[in-house]
Amino acid sequence: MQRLLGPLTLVSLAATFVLGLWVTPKATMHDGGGDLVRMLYVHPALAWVALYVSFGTTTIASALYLWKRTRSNTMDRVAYCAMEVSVLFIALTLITGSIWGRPTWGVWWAWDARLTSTAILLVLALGYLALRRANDDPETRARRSAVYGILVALNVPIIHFAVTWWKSLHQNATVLTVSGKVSVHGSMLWTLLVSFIAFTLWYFWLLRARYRLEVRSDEATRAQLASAVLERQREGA
Amino acid sequence: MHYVIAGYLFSFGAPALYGVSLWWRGRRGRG
Repeated sequence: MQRLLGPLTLVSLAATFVLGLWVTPKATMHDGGGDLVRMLYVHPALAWVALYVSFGTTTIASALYLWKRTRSNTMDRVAYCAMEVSVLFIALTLITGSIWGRPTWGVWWAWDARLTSTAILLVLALGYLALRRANDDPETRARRSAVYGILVALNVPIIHFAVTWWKSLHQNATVLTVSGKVSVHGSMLWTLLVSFIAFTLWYFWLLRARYRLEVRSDEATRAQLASAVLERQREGA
Repeated sequence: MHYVIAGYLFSFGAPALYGVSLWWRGRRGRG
C-alpha cells in the first residue's frame, strides 16, 4: 500500500484537475458563478484536509504521546509533521476561499465567523511551530507541544459549526451535513469525491515525506552530539 | 475564469512546491 501512495495520489490529482476544469459543467447564469463553481473541487477538499485529517492527526498523535502507555518519539514527530503540513493546507483554504469570495461576495476578506475562526486557527498552528522552536529539551518540547496541540484542536468544531451558530456569509455544509443529506449531484458529486480522495492522499504522501526527513534530521543531530561528546572526552584524557 | 486558474495554481502548485522542498532537503541531508 505504501508503494501505491505516490501513484494513487498522482492519478487522483490528475483526475481532479481534468474533471474539475473540463468535464464538470459550468453553473448556469441563474445559479450565478459560471466557471467559479470549479473552485468547489479544490477549496472544500483543502479545508477537509486542513481541519479534519491533518488537525485530527496532530490531536490523536498528541493525545497518544501524553498517554504514558503509548508515549514515543514517533507520536511526537507525527504530531509535529502533521501540524507543519496543516499550516500549508489552512493557508491554502484561506487563499482559495478568498479567490472565490472576491467575485462572489465582492470582497477578498470579510470578518465573518467561519473566515475569522479559520484565520485564528492558522495563527494558532504557527504558534505550535514557534513553541517547538522555543524549547531545546526534547521531552519538555514534546509534552508542551502535545498539550498545546490538543488545546488548539478545540477551535476545529467552532469552525465547523460557525456557519450554523452565527449568521455567516459562508454557505452551510454541502457534504458533511448533520442530516447526511448531500446537496450535490451527478458529475459534480463524483468530482467532489475524487478531489477529497486526491487531496487526502496527497496529504499523507507529504506527511510521510516530512516524517522521514524529521527522522533523518534527528539521527543527524544525535550523531553530531555523540561525536562532540567523544571529542570532549578525548580532550579530557 | 482567471479566478479559477489562480485558485487551481495555488491549490496544486503550493503543495507540489512543498513536496519538492522536502525532497530537496532530504537529498541535501544525505549528501
